[in-house]
Amino acid sequence: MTRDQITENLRSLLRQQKQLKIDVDKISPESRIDAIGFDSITILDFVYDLEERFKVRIEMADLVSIRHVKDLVGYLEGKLAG
Amino acid sequence: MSPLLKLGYLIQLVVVQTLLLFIGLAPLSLVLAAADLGALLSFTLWRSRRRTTIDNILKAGICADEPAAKRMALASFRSFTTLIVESIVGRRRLTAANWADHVAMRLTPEAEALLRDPRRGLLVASAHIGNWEVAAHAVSMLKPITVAFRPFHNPYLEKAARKRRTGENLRYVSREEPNPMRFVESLTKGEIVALMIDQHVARGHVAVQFFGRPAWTTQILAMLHLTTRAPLLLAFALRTGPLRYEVRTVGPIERARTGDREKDVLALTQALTDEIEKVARAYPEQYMWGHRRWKGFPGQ
Repeated sequence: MTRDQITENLRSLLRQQKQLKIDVDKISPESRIDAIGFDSITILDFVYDLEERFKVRIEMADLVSIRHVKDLVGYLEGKLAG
Repeated sequence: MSPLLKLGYLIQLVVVQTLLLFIGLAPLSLVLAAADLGALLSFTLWRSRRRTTIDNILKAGICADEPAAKRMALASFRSFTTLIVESIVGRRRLTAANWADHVAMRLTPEAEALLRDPRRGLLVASAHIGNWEVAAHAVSMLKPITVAFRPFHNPYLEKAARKRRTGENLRYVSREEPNPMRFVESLTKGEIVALMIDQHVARGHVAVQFFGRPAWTTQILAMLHLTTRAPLLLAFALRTGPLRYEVRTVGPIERARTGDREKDVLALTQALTDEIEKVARAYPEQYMWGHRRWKGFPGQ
C-alpha cells in the first residue's frame, strides 16, 4: 500500500468516527494527532478501527510516541512492509 | 464565578477542613461513632437519597420488602460514612511499614504476579463497595497507580481533596483532563490505571445489564484493554473491621477481539459488571446503593 493509499484510508476511517467534529479534508500530514479532537475514548476507537482496517497491531509504546499524521502514515507503511 | 457562589464554596471548604481536623485528631472509636451518627442523620434528613437507595435495593432484588430494604439502606449509608472517616484516618495511619497489618491481600496468583511485575501496565476496574479509597492506597504500595475520578464542582474543595488523596505512588487524574493519551502513557510506564465503572455516565457509554436492568456504563476500560492489550482485573476492598480490609481481585478478565468493536466493548464491560453484581449481591450492606444507576432508560 502506498503512502497516499494509507493516508486516504486514514481519512476514510476518521470520517467514520461519528463523534469527531472536524473537517477531515483539512487534515494534512503535518497535523498533530492531538489536534484532531479525540477524547480518551474516541482515540481508542480510532486505534481499534485502524488495527482492523490495516490488519496490524499497534504497540502501546508506539501509540504514545506518534505525534503527527505523517508519523502515523510512516508507522503504518513500515508495519505493512514488514 | 459569582461572589455568592464563591462564598458558598469557601464556606463548604471551611466546614470540610474543620471536620477533617476533628477526624484527624480524635480517637478512632469516637470518629466511628460520629460516622454512625452522621449516617443516621443523613438517612433521616436526606429523603430523596434515602428513597433512591431503598428503591435501588428493591429493584435489585436484594430485599423482598420495604422494611428490610430500609434496614439495608441504613447499613449502606453507614458503610459510606465509615468509608469517608476511615479513608481520612487511613491516609494518616496506613504507611508502607504497617499497611499489611490493616489490609489483607486475597489475590488470584495471576493478579499477584501482575501487581508485582514493575514493567507491565495493568488495568483495574473497581466499584463503590467496601472502601475504594483504601483499596487504591493499598494497591499503590505494590505498584504505582493512576486513578481516574470525577472532580468536585467546588474548585477549592477539589484542590484540597486532590492534595490529601495523592500519595507517593498514587495519582488522581480527572476524567475531564484534556490529554486523551494520559491513561495509555501511564500503562506504558508499567503503572496501574484504575477506574470505577459502576456509575451512570452520560457519554462514551455502553448499555449493560446490571441486576437485570439496563445501565449506562463507561466504555473506556474495555477500550483500553482492547487496544493496549494490558491485562484487566476487577479489584475491591471489603471492610472486615475498624481500619481492617481485605483486598480481593477477580481475573484477569479477557475476551478475544472479534473485529466488531461495539460487540467487544459490550462483552467486556458486561463481564466486569457481572462480577461487580456478584460482589454487591454477596456484600450488599457495603455497596453504595444511593446512586441512580439505572437512569436514562424508560421506566427507570
